[in-house]
Amino acid sequence: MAIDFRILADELRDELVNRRRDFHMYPELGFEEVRTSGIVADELRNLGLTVQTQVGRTGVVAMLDGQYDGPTVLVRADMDALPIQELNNVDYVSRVAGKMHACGHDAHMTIALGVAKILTRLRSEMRGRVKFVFQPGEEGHGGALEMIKDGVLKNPVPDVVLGLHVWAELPVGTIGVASGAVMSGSSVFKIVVEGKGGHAAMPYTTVDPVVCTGELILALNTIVGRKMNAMDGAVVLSVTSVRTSSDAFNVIPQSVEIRGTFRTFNAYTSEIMEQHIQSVSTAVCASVGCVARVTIKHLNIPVVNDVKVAKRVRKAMKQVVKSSALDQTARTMASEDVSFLLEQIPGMYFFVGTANKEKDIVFGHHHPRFNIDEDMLPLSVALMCASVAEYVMQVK
Amino acid sequence: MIDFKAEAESLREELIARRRDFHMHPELAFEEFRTAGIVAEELNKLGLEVQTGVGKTGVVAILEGAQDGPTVLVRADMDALPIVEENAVEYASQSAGKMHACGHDGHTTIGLGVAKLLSRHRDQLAGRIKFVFQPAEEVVGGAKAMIADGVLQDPRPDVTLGLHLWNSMPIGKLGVGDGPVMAGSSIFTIKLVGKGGHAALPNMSVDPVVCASHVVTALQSIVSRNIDPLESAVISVTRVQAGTAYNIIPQDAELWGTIRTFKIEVRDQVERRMREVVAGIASAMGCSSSVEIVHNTLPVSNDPTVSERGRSVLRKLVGDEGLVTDERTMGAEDVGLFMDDIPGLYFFVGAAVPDQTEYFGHHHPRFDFDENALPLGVALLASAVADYVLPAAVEA
Repeated sequence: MAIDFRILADELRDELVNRRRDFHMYPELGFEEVRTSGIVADELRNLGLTVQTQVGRTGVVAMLDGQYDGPTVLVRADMDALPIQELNNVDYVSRVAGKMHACGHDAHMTIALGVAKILTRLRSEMRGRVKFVFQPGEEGHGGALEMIKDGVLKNPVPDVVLGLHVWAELPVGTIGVASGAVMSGSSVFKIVVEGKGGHAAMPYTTVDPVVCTGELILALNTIVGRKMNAMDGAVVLSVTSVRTSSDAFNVIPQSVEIRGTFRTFNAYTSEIMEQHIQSVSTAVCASVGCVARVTIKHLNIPVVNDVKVAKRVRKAMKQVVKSSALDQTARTMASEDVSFLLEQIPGMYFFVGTANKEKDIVFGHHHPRFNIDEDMLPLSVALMCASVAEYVMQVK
Repeated sequence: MIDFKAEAESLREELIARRRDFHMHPELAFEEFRTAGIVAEELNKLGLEVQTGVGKTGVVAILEGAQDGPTVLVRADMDALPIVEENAVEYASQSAGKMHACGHDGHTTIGLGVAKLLSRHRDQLAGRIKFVFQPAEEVVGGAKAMIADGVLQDPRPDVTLGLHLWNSMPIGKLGVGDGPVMAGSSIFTIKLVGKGGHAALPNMSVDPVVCASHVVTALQSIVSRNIDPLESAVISVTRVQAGTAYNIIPQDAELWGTIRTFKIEVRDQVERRMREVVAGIASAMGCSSSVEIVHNTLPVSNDPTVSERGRSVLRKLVGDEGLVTDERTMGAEDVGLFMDDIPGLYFFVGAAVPDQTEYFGHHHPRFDFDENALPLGVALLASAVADYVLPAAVEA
């Protein structure tokens, strides 16, 4: 007998919306998810799950053991917000200045808690167990690696990893379910352009790092267009912050620090990017007498969906949505440290569309006006329940 | 006749100790509480009539002569800069991120030295000396605040005298030109507004960082391409701020900086071109932009009569070869605001650090000056003042 997860999830609709809005109003940055993880842990305890807190600093792990033995499915949700001042005009707008759930992690947690609630009710029929993993610090803080270090992939070792991301690039109702590499690997760079400071009225007595930084940022932006093989495609470089070492209007600063990220889908493209960032920085700075200090850190590896798992999950999803809703091509230059879980355990990370022009939900992830169409909350719960059930609710 | 050189020399140790004390305890604009306190206390001890809180943290003291005569305004500035000192000297700044990197510690010290020296000759004084210790020269606004509080009234000065220690000239050389000797300065704030978003999805955002880089480099062509090569103009972008996280393309970027010119027409031309360049680039890159310009200081212009009279006195201390009449600087000074109303002379006192292998200019984290300039500065300024109010003492 097939369980209609759509109906079960729709019954939770109000609860899901309320919970998501509560998380949304109180965003917390990476490894500071104290309030958030407290709510998550309480909720999971109330459901009767065995809860472990402080896994990977502020992470939470909860085990739902089925009646019978069987495989272990890891369901992963991330919890952290971003340092963005929200500009949405909604009554559940962020109450915390300069912090915002602008990537949908508020929804991810809400969905996973919904999944836990529904599957708990089906415990007596369950063969195997579900390990719910609420991860801190996804936004570049290394939360997944911290949790792995604390043993989240052991005891028991999961057989499959499942996760989802709300996705502004897909319309609500469409699910991105491609196999293979779906999210890029990402690296971060920091370049300190060291000049020689001095009085702003006497630039000739200084080596101005500000103009040099302007030239450097422009030069870095030619790498993708001029240095990369277009056939390798899917390469992006963004300089995302610029800071002069002093603040006065009449002081030419000693140095300028720029930070940013680059993304590729494979290791060799990443290596080529790294070489070019080094050589462009050195050359541009040398041309005006500055010195470049380049630091590059590799943050995430690409997110790769296991072909077999993806196939099985797609089949399960068809109980919830029509096959036309499944998009097998969606890939993105965004990156995710769920990749480190998927590197060790085969799994599937899928995208649930949330864009909706009619509701003015048109802004991208990390935008100060990012929002989701909340209709996707119960849909996502149903999709994830069906995917997990595919592994632990199979009638023999 | 008074031997100002010998009298100032007798103060040498006191001057050096005081300057080092000020240097160790720098205070930023309008925060010169400790500094102003010491100044007021010292002037009180000398028996001057002291007024504090003039222009927020400024101090004014009148040394009233025994007989009537002209009023000379002697001006010294007190504030430090937001710079981390990098000098390894025993008197290095003890306030993190603050430094006397322009020599105002020396100016305040010299102002007090002149007060001490001349108050010894009070019984011969015909007229009065108004000592003005001005706050907030570096951010500009100190002179304006003091003028608003009536520093040029009651009594109204007949002449303004002041000096700036100048570490690009050797000791013994004085810059005493006629007409504009320091540039007028304007402060600009350029705001570029794009559309924020995820750093991995630049196609969904409008990147203000790349736009800002184009602006920084393009502004440099104004001086080289638009301004008459026979005129003087400087444009420096001194502060850039954009972004908060490595994975967020920020919504906007801000550039701050300064414009220096000797002529109002040239200033206006720079400003017009700046607005055109910013608007054009922003439009090409899809950003919106705003340019705000505040006229900060007027050019410092020495009155030919006052400077001629000054030169004839100063010559006695440094000889003909010590007088440099063509020393001008793009540096700005709000003393120009006093001198716009009251004719005056603002001269540069050579104070280059001897035997330095590398030159560090004003506002550099390693700025310093030759302390021999302290007693010399006192002698020079005291004799220039005495020329107006102690004529008997100057005549040989």
